[in-house]
Amino acid sequence: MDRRSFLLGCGGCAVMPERFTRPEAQSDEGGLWAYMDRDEERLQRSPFLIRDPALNAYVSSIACRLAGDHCPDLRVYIVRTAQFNATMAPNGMMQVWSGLLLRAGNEAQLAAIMGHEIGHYLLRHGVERLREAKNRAATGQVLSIGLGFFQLLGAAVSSLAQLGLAAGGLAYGRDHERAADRIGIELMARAGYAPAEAARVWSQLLEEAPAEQSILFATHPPLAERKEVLAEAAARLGGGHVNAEAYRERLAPHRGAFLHDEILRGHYGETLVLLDRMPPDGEVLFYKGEAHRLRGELQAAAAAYRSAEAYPDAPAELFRSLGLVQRRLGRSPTRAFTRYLELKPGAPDAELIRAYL
Amino acid sequence: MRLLLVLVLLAGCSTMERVEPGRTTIRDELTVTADARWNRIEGGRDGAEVWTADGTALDVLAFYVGVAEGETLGAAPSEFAPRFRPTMSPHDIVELYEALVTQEGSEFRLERLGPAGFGGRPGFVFEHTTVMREGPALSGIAYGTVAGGRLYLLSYTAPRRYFFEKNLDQVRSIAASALITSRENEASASP
Repeated sequence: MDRRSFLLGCGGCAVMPERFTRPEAQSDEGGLWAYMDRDEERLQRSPFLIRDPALNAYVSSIACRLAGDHCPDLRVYIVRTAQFNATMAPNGMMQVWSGLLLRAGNEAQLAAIMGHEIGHYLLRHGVERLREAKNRAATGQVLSIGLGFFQLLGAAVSSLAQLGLAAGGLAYGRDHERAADRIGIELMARAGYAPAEAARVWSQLLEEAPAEQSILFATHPPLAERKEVLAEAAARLGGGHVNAEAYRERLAPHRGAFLHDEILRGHYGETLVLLDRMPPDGEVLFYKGEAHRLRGELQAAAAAYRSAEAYPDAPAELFRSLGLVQRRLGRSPTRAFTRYLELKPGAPDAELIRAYL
Repeated sequence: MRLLLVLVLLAGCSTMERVEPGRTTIRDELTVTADARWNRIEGGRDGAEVWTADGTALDVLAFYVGVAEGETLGAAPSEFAPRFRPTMSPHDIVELYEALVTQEGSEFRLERLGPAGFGGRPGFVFEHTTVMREGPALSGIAYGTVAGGRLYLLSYTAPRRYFFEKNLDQVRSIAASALITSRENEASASP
């Protein structure tokens, strides 16, 4: 019995395959690992790697809980990239993008996505993609499809990983995604997470952007089918915890930077849906104001900024933005600008704000 | 007489022509005086006229001349790219610039934003650090103004160590010499 049938053959009681050993360097799988090893070395030097030990330990511990005996073979990297995504390479390198951390509402939702990626790893989908790609290479399909995908993605992964992934004929096929979904939800439940969150995380994404606009849904199974399958599995598996509070606390030191990156995507409508889903606080309401301001909705922006003022955690920049909006609306920005300078006298734009006053 | 140079740059092949010291008019609307030789990239880049002293891998002096309402700064990467509006404040224009330089996921950090004349009009100056996904961290300084409802922006970026400092005085001198010559821009506004 090969590893794949071992994992799948149990029908709802996923049994882990044995830990993988490094493939022969001369084999196609060994070549793929070598690609990924080199890419991992580059990733380790990236200024966009989030190195906060506390956050890394937290996210790695989730991966470990999901992966069980495979935990020692996994290396998790948190990458500052605003898009919602996680990847898992055959050599055990997992990337979790900050856009995913921002969008997951709790630990169980993050575990759902990581469990899905670990599912690809356990089923060795990477090498299957490589072999499919070899067959397609003769027809010239791989390069054009792969490049298109990565241009859309604005990917953080560097060229070697792109090559490796593109060589897989462009992400995983829908059969692979279905299989990874099945394994992922089993791993979640086994680790004690609420499996119902797996369907919820996809529903949330769909609320932000219609399916046809999202590349995530291009290669993944249709959402209706996916939700149905995941919901059925969740009903069968039941229970579990979500760990929302712990998740929020761990993310808190980074959330402002992640929200700033999110605003820079320029998809303000999606950002507003995301922010409406979050419990309101000074930071959330400030960024809500920013999204409205950048959409030219000055009254809505001012209202959001004023709501944010009530929270002690509101960033000082709130008063700068409020003053700029009031200036545009023909109202006096004096109080807001003065407050901004009180809170941040050494702000990089203090010189200009003083000139306004 | 201008000497046409064909240089092989680190980033690829580009045709450049020399800009001799003295007064130069850019896109018929902005005149500047350089007191050293620069090289002009033929055809510009992303809608801007681009000069370089030592090659674009090492320093880039970009002139965005007369960006009109509804236009993006640089080539529009997508329908979501922010667009220039004449009512924009210097803060808004810094955000427009940030959107341009962070298209590939770079990190932009504003170091300073203050009032400064540019093009013979009231304007603004900002300094920044930009950390690229691949490559060295860049320092940058930019001068801008909105005149006649259009944006004029000079932006200089170079790797933080050595190259940025090397040409900084020249760039400041070029920015100070800039004059908007377009007649339709008599009425000015900004900051």
